[in-house]
This record gives sequence, structure tokens and C-alpha cells, in this order.
Amino acid sequence: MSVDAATRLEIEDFLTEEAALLDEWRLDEWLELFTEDAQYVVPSPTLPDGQPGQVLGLIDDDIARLRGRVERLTSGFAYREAPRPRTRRFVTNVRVLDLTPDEARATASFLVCRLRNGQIEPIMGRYEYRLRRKDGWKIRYRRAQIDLESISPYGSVSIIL
Amino acid sequence: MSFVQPTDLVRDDPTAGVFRVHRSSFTSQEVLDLEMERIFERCWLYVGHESEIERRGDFVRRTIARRPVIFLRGSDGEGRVLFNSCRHRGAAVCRAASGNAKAFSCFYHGWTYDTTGRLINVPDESPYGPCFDKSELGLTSPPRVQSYRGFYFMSLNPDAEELPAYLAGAREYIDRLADQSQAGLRIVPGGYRYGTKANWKLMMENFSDTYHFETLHRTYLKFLSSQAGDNRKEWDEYNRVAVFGRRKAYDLDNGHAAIEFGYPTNGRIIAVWHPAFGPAARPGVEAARSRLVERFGEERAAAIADNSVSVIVYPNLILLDIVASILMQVWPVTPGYIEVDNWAIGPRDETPEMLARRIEQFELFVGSAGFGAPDDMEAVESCQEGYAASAGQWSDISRGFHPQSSGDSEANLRAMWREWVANLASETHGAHDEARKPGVGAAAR
Ligand code: FES
Ligand SMILES: [Fe+2]
Repeated sequence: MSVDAATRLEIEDFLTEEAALLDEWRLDEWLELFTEDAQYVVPSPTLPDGQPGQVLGLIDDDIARLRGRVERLTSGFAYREAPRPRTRRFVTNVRVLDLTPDEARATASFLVCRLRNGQIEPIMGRYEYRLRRKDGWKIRYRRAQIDLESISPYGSVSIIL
Repeated sequence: MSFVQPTDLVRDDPTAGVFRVHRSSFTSQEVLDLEMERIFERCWLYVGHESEIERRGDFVRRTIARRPVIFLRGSDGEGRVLFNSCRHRGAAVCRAASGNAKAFSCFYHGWTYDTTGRLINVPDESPYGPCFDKSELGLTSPPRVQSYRGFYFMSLNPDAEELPAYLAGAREYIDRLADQSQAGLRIVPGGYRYGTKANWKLMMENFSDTYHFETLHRTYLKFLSSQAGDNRKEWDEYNRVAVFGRRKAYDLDNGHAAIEFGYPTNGRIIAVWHPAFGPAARPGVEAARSRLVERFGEERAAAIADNSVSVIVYPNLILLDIVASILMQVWPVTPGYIEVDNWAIGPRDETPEMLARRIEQFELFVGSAGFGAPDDMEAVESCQEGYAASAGQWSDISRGFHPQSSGDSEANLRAMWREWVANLASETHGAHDEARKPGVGAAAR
């Protein structure tokens, strides 16, 4: 199915709105963007193409674990992110690669800057989404592949990328 | 000068039950310089696991004690460590992170080495004249390289004792890990490195400090409990009793130390099922335990399967054999910054289902984006920042030290610190000389 400009724009808007929810730390609303069978993946920096569950990665969440992640982050006891982090993210180069009446596969480039203790920690990489059409779009699969060679010098990827 | 004598950095008073470490130990560049010379250039250091160099020509690039090395299996089948620096002018002959090679050809002028390190080709050799001898210009190796049960170590100290003797009591825990599977172990692909703004000893302590678990990691415990479903009450109670009642610390000699939890924490992929693994995983986990009982009998099987442990393999390797088996290696860069290598290791023959559970549990707790490790990083970085305010002060490591104290003990951390101070005070190599303080060797104090 060819990708019309209106659909591409719709998806780009969706990603922009998603980024705003994350930057504004509205994580409960962000969770509502996901389908019940959703998966959120961040691969290892050393094996960016590795299959989740077959090789080590950073994140491979199903919806239960994703809910646990948000609950943890907003609890005030996830000390790496408490007080809540300041972030600013830039989502660009949106490409819709596959489109069927029900699903879209899209990729985008991201730059997420986290600010803490007077320092800026930029993490850049590539998103891959599988979106399902269901009163607008829902996220069935979200993959954030980071370009860093190691998690240095920041150590953790405890924000949502 | 921030300190006079290394021995002034540790107060070790068994009668009063006081054990303190001066905070300049974490902040001083002079201390780090001395650590590089007297610890990292003298001790045995972990390099890699045999499963990373399975076939002839397999190689992995590493940096060990600031030296660039290639860990590889030569065409003769031998596991080796070669310094990754061309004998000509010094460029790296191996520039890939890992792979398989027939030879290493230097990209600068093209000198070429085989996988045993021999120099086999020099482009346009004739201008070097008759004294030029390729057989003297092979890649060099660290003075000592040995392996124990598949774990390769190197030492920059030609006089280092044999590796098994050096490993002392830590061998028992490497044995327990290696005995998990008859087929041997393998490093799960995808291991990675992260940085942390803290001193390396703070991180070593942290991975073997069980005292912080209930406070710092409450969000992890809460999540696990939420996954336990109908068994929730049972597991919460189990954990509560265990956390307070069963931990034991061991001095394994030579700075190695262990803390045994005395129970299988939140399940163990080998081989104690936990509700968080999901019901489908249960038969596989139980079958794995039965196989251990068949091979070793109930008592040894229980030691291998049922007991979570954290082991310091001095100076900078941690074996965290908990729900999954994890290796971490901590490299000082500056007094206040480290790089930490992380690997998951497990049976070579485990089912895809169990491997997936192993990976999931690693990612959930110790991973860089897990529900545990980020808070550990925050804690050690916070300590390091605190030292800026109070570098003249002392940190306390006295838990369980007083003759009349009972229960939880930090004897494992004290064992590490005693070796540390003995190493720093020793001008010649000899971790076991008179510089060691009284009290060492006495178990669990
Ligand atoms: S530096 Fe390697 S060939 Fe010259
Ligand atoms: Fe911890």
C-alpha cells in the first residue's frame, strides 16, 4: 500500500505527541498509547540487531513490565530518576515503511537529552514502530536502538527513551 | 600528600569492632596510581571466558589494566592473550571488537601476524638488512596467562603465584557455577559496558553489599512481588525471613570474599522456580534441578542450585550468582570514574525458553535499564559526591565486626579491604607477607 502524505503526517503527529507526553512526564497517559500485546525494546549497544530474548539487551518489556516500569519511575523511589528527570527529545526523519489498512511500520531518528546535575546527557538513535489503527493509532511495538557504543559515561538508561 | 602510609587508610580494630576506611582512598590520584602499580599490575585479572573464543581464530578485543589486548584462540587451538600493538611502530593490529581471523595485518605499514602472534609478513623486507629477524618481532603476551575451568586470567607480574592458588576460596564458587551444566557454560551474546562516576571500590562494595537491598531496591522487590500472583504472600514472607536471617559472609583469602544468601533469592534460573518466570518455565527448571541431584547428590546440588551468592574475585571481578549468573568487571579510569563490563553467563545447552528467562531476569535487575542497577549507580555516585564535602572523614564498614555482634556481617567487604591495604603497603610483590594485618583468615569477621 503506498503511503499518502496525509497518513505520513498523521503518524508524524502521533510521534510528536508521544514525545511531548514523555518530556512532560505524563507517563500514565503515555502507557495508554500501547496495545495489550505491546512490546518495548532497547537492544544492547554491542548487538543492535540482536533478537530480544536470544541475546542480552537493555529493555524487552511486555505490557506488564512496562506498567511496572512506569509505576517504578513515578513512585519517587526510583532514585536515579527522582526527582523526575528533565528531558528534551527531538524526533525527526520520520519514514513510513509499510502500510496496511490496520498497521503501519515507521522509523524515525531521535535525540533525547537528559539534564541532571549541571550536565547534559544526549542519547541518539533510531526508533522503529509498529502502529495499529484503532481509533487513531496505538503502539504495538516500539524499539529504540541507541547509537552509543557503550552506556558511557552516563551508566543507566533509566528514563524512557 | 593526602596520606602518609597506605596502612593509615584503614582502621581495623577487632577488639572495638571498628573497621573504617579513610575517604581519600576513593578520591586521591596518588592512591589510584599506587593501586595501578601494586594491585592491577600484580594481581591476576579476568580476561574472558573460553566460550568467547570457541573456534580457532576467534578473537575479542579487550583493555586489561589499561593495556590493549587481543583474547584469542590461535590456529594451534591454544587460548591466548596478545598485546594489541604492532611491533613496528605500535598501531593496533586488531581493530574489530570481535570476530574470526586467519591473521592480523597492521593497517599502517602492513606487518602481518598469525593467530599465535608470530610475525609472518613484512612488506618490502630487504631494506632492513641482514640482522632483521622476524622471529624476534612477534606480538608479545602478558607475562602470565592461565585459565581455571574456562575462565581466562592474565597477570602483568611474572612472579605471580599459579592461578588456582591465587583464586583460593573463590574456586569453590567458580566450581559451583561451572558445574551448573555438564555441557559447559557460555557467555550470552550482547554483554556491554557502562560508565559510573564513582570510585571502583565503591562499586565492588556495592555489588557485594546486601544491606542496601531492602531500602535502595524497594521498587524492584515491589515489582517482583506484584508478579508472584497467588504466591505473593508466601514469597514476601520467604524474602523477609531470608533477608534478615540467613546471609553469611566469607573471607576466601587473597582478598576474595563471598556473601551467601542461604536461599534462592527471587528464584534461580538454575534451578529454583519463581512465579515471575511464568508457569510454562516450571517443568524445565525443576528438571534441571533433578539433573543436578543425579550428578552430584542432594547436598552438592543444593549448594549449586539453591543458594544465591555474590563473590568478589579480587581485585575487580564480581560473580553475582543470583536469579541469573552475572559477571561484572570494574575498571578504574580516574579516582571518581569507572567503566563496568557486564556479562550474562549460563549453560551452553539450556533451552531457548530458559535462556529467554535468564535474559529477562538480567535485564530486569542488573541491566543498565533495569529496576535495580540504575539506583545502585545513583547511590555510589552520591557517595562519591559526598566525599568532596568530607574527604577527611572515614567510611564505616563495621557491621557484624564486634565480637558480641551477631546476624548480618560485612566480613566480605572487610576481607577485600584488608587485602587492598596489604597490597598497597607492599613494595615488592607478595600479597601474603607481613603487611597483612591480624584478623585476616579468621572466617566471617
Ligand atoms: S605500525 Fe604496524 S606496520 Fe607499521
Ligand atoms: Fe544494589
